Amino acid sequence: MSIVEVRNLTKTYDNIHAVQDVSFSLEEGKIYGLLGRNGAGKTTIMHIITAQLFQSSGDLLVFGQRPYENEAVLSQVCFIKESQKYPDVFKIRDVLESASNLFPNWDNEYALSLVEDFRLPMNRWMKKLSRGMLSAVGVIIGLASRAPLTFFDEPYLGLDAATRTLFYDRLREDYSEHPRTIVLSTHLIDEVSPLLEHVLLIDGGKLVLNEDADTLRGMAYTVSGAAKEVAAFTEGKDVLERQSMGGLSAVTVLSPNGAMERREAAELGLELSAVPLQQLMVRLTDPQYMNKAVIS
Amino acid sequence: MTRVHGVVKIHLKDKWTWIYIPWMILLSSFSINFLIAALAAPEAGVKTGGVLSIFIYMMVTGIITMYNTFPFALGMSVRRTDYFKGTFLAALLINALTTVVLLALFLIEEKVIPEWGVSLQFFSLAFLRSFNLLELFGIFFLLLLNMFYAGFAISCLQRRFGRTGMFVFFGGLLAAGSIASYFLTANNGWMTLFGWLAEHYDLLFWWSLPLTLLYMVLSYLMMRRTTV
Amino acid sequence: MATLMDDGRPIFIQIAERIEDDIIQGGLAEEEQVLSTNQVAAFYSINPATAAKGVNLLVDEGILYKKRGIGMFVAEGARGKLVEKRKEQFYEQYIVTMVKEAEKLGITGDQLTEMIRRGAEQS
Repeated sequence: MSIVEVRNLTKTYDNIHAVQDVSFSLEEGKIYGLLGRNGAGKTTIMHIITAQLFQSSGDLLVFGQRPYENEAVLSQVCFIKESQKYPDVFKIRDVLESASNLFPNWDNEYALSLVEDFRLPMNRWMKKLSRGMLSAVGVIIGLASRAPLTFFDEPYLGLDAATRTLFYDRLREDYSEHPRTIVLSTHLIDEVSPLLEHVLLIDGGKLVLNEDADTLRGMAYTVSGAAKEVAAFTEGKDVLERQSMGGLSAVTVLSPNGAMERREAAELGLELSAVPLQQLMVRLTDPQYMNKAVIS
Repeated sequence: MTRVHGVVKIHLKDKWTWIYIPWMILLSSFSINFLIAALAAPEAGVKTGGVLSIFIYMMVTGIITMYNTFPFALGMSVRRTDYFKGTFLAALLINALTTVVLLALFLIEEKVIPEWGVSLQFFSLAFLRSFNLLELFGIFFLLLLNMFYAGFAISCLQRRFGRTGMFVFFGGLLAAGSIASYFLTANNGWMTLFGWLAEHYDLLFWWSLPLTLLYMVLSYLMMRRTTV
Repeated sequence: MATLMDDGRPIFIQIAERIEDDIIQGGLAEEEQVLSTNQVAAFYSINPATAAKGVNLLVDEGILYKKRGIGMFVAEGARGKLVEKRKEQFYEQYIVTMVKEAEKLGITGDQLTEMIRRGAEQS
């Protein structure tokens, strides 16, 4: 069942298209990756879905209703963003207590266990927190709120690798016990990619990819070998990147029939290698790669 | 617990903006006047409008509280309407408490320790002594609320329309003031106005109520379209 | 915590293969209970839905079966079935590729057979 329906969403600021004609839906109980470079429009889209910004045109339904000033929708949504402001005179304790009063599914025991896991000083003023601690507070609110629709927008700025792993582990555990729809917006794709079930890629305000993560994994591959043979094999295919050195060349191909084509390439004696999700995203958002219409 | 209640609790946690700072300012004004009255001991005693400082600070509270808590509440998925309602309840509650304390100090100054023993009129100003307790409660309470919502409306204006909005609004206010002042001067209206005010100042307090309601309506309308 | 090879193949297929390997190598006996999907997800740090997809693939193939309310178990005859399947794959995956590479290097069929015999003796 889809719980978010976005139709032809457009957001324009002073003639700049921050979001352009974006349509997609989110299904219940999946973990989504909302990927793209900084400034691609990811945060704007999430702001609009949570009714914190207004679209210029287009329509959207969240849990089947328009979210603006809609208690039935907003009480089920949690949006953790990197730029979240907290009252100056609040301590971590005040922020978490406030959140516990505002999210109907809040689990306070869980929140307190997370505070220990992330080693947060409950009585420290919010304005005295390091970037990493500020991120950890957001992560705790996002997890403990147990909102049926939760957005994390770059939730780990300033967190070290060990703490990020802690976040991924807690997220996965809690999601297993309390399945819900989670959207992870990030540019650290490799770290989160094993957690993602579905990927939405935004570039320049447009949706350029909307695909099952496992399907995507099989779609892109790099063939290398003698330049002539590689050229013959990739003829007519959707090429993302071409590199050559002397008589050898390596070409990255994106194809919905990835699995079959790989076998063909192997039979031709061409060398095959995988393209990690992160690299695939980088290539898809490369301005030189113009042939975006192929994938839908 | 409804989320309006949650918003009230956010405000109640923000004790610095709502309680500590206003009272610190009021009490420092009182201390200075008390010292002057006690040490310099002027013959006519000290009559001061220092109590006004807490009313003026309530306007600052109106400005700061929006800045401090609105982006937080919106970020916690609170409806703008619920933020508005919660803020209203918090303003009623805290201003009622402030009023009660002001009245207590008024009575102490008037009856228990007359003029604090040093001929200081700080809380029980002469022109207020003709009112009964209920009327005094109404006057203090409505004025505090009025000041709070004046600040709150300014803050909403700033959030909704940005610097341009502030510029246009205050520019317009200044222009309107200048024109009114021109006509009053031209028609010798100043004297009439002041004469009328001196006689009917008690009405003025009650007239703050419709003004407060106007600020509230405007704040609400602006807030409905405010974004992060 | 273990990691999977990012060889560009779907994660759920890699999960299914890991369980298959475990059964073939005798780590998981027939009628033995396998890890729950959440345990698999935690072990490999992957999405529980993906782990479930991998496990279900094996259920569809009759390698695993579900005992209601208890969990997943290795089916009777699973190992034999898997070995047969792997033997077929072995030809596709290794022999075909090897012959291709041998051709490229000019290794004759006889030489190749000799090399395989040598390899088998050494191991």
